[in-house]
Amino acid sequence: MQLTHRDFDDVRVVSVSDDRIDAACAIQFKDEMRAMAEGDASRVLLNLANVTFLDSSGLGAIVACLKAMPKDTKLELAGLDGAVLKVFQLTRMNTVFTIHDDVDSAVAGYRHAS
Amino acid sequence: MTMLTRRWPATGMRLERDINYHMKSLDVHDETALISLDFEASNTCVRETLKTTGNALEAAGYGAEFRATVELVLAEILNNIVEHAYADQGFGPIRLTIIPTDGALKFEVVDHGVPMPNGNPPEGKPADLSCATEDLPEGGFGWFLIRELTHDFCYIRENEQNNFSFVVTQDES
Repeated sequence: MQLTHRDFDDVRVVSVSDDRIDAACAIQFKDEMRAMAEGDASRVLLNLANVTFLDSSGLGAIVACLKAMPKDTKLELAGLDGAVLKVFQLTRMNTVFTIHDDVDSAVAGYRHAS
Repeated sequence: MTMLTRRWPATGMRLERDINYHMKSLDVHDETALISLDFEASNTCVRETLKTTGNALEAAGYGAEFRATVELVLAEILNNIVEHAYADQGFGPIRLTIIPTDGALKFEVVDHGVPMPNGNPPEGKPADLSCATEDLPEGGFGWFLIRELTHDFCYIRENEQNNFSFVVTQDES
């Protein structure tokens, strides 16, 4: 489970390199995200553009990340597509998370807001 | 992957590899066709099985959205077996059989693990998400997804085996 990050302005973009977040790697994903969320950014944007499969373990791990975010840090999602978006929609977790189409539009939105 | 030799009690079949893959033929138009896989209950084998199944369905002409639904349902059922049915011993065989039916696929999944608690799979009620963030559920989505995406879901405990059967229809996905 590999996560990479880019920091700019007040947002840390964390990208998942693996194409699946599933039972086999959900725990490692949670652990890696915990490390990634420790920073000065007030926003963490989790970029799932490479991810083509998410099961309930993966979804649970993402929810766990949301719950574990440091107090003044927001977690938002970007790059959900196809099967991954469908899992969020079926479970209505798309009403819990802020979901952006992609990283660029999310970051542009943050810039206009500030 | 490690080599396994283990007798499958019901048929006396030996599992000589982690995944044994028997396919007569898989054809969306042929209702007698079937695919049958025997594999070890591990996350790695589940991933491999999902890939094998996906490739077989693609070769047989099933569309991408349907295949994605099948992959999700199978992942949930199989992960549940890995995590719960064989929790005590940490390993065990799973047999997956896929049979085309009219506009759908029928699935049969058999394992030799512990029975479902309460004799029945969970109802999979949708979670209440109106709570505070810190109270959001991190689990329980699996059975909701299975119930949501399948028809005719059936669980029978027989001969110390857990038998699941269910249908995924093509127009539903």
